[in-house]
Amino acid sequence: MKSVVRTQGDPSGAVVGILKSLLNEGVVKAWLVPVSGSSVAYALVRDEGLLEKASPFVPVMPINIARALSVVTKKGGAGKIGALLRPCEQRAFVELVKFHQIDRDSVFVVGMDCLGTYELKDYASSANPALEEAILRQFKAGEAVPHQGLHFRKACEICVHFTPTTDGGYAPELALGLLGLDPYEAIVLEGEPDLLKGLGFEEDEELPSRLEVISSLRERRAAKRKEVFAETLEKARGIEGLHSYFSTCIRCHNCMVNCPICYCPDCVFRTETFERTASQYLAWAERKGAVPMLPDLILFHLTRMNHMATSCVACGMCTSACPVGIDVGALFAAVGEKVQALFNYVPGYSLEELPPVAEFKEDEFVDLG
Amino acid sequence: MEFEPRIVGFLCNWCAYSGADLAGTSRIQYPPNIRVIRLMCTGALDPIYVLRAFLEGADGILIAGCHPGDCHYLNGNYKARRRIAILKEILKELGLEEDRVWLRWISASEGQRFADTVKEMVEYLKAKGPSPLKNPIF
Repeated sequence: MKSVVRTQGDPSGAVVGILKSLLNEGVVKAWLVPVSGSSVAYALVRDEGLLEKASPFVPVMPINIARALSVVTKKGGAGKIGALLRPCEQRAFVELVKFHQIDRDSVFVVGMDCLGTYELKDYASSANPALEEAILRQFKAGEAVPHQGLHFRKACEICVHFTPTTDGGYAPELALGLLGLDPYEAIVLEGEPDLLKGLGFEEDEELPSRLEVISSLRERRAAKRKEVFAETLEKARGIEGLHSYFSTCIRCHNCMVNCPICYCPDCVFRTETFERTASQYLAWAERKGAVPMLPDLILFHLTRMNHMATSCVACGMCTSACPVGIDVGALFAAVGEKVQALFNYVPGYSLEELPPVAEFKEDEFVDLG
Repeated sequence: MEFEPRIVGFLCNWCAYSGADLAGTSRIQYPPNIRVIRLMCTGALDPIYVLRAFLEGADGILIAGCHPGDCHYLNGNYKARRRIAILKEILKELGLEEDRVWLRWISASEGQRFADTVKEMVEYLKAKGPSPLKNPIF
């Protein structure tokens, strides 16, 4: 069911009002939402009064919030935790449910259209309500133009999955439709009839048409994405290209830490599996003439790619987390897209299809062996 | 001096390793370019070991296990096949010569097939030349 919500000049307030009702009616026990103060942080908010501080549309993503959902609900038993997810966070949520890292029954998802987010440091240094308002004003035409002197996160510039609902795919409990609308006047709510009626909304027959804005934005983004992917794969091509792509990597592993799909607590790169003794290092250096220190730069990135590219949701948190500005996300998303195509798999699309690494078919890849 | 490729072979205990053993006990000749690592199952092979072998100097990797349907653990070889498909696709997209990774099904009774596979692979890699992945770049 779809309903139009009149926001009367305050879209955030309208959404926070809905969050409060759901909290008061006991539909959710608490809300995992971005909260604005001097900067932006996510918080698990239980107190109704504190929900006032929630900023549903703040255009920044400190972490991929699916990671926090995993922390809270992985072991179950938490009751319903409500979460406000951007589409890439929603896709990560779907993947983590399938990897048994989020308890699906413990989460109440509110999805939303997204035009883009800023890097946290850019936002923090110029935090002002104007950034949020500027983006909200752009939903009507579906033109994402960053604020003066700033850029959107690279992953956002080439994002094609910017709506919470897709044909035949996973749909959140509640979806906030913004594209094609002026959120200062109205937004569209989509959800189960019981839920919406419980919130006091009626079904609206006359819905504003949003499809054109959505498909035109998707087309422009897809063209840009194709361009960036081709450029990236060209840059990283061959062992020399790969070394040069990662030449400034400082081995901090932030890309892995911030990746929602890299959840393994016993990741090989967190263990001593590939550490050697002093004499082994010396023998290695003698054999090769010299050994790069720290070693295993390419091994790290290629292994991570092998482990998670099939489920990469292209949220770009790896790029945002990189202290030396390597666009890790573009490479992983570009390769990921090719690998996912082998299995006709779109990460985050559906809760039903198993991730490619979790199943096999007897009659596939028969030419390989 | 002719280039002698170095192959690292990851062989499953139940089929390919026994096949290699049979090649030996049957005195079937095959080139000594392969270094064998025995696994309990190809399904237990993480791609990290294939990548590491390449980065440390291997010119080719042979992964060999039971024929489809014959896995000692029912379906480990199917899982391996999918993992190798992913690995090869990644290597291909990055221009890293995915044709240096071979997956072959060799049963415990196929000593001749094991020897033939190694021979074939050595010839293929000789024609191809040394792997570019092994050279550390500063």
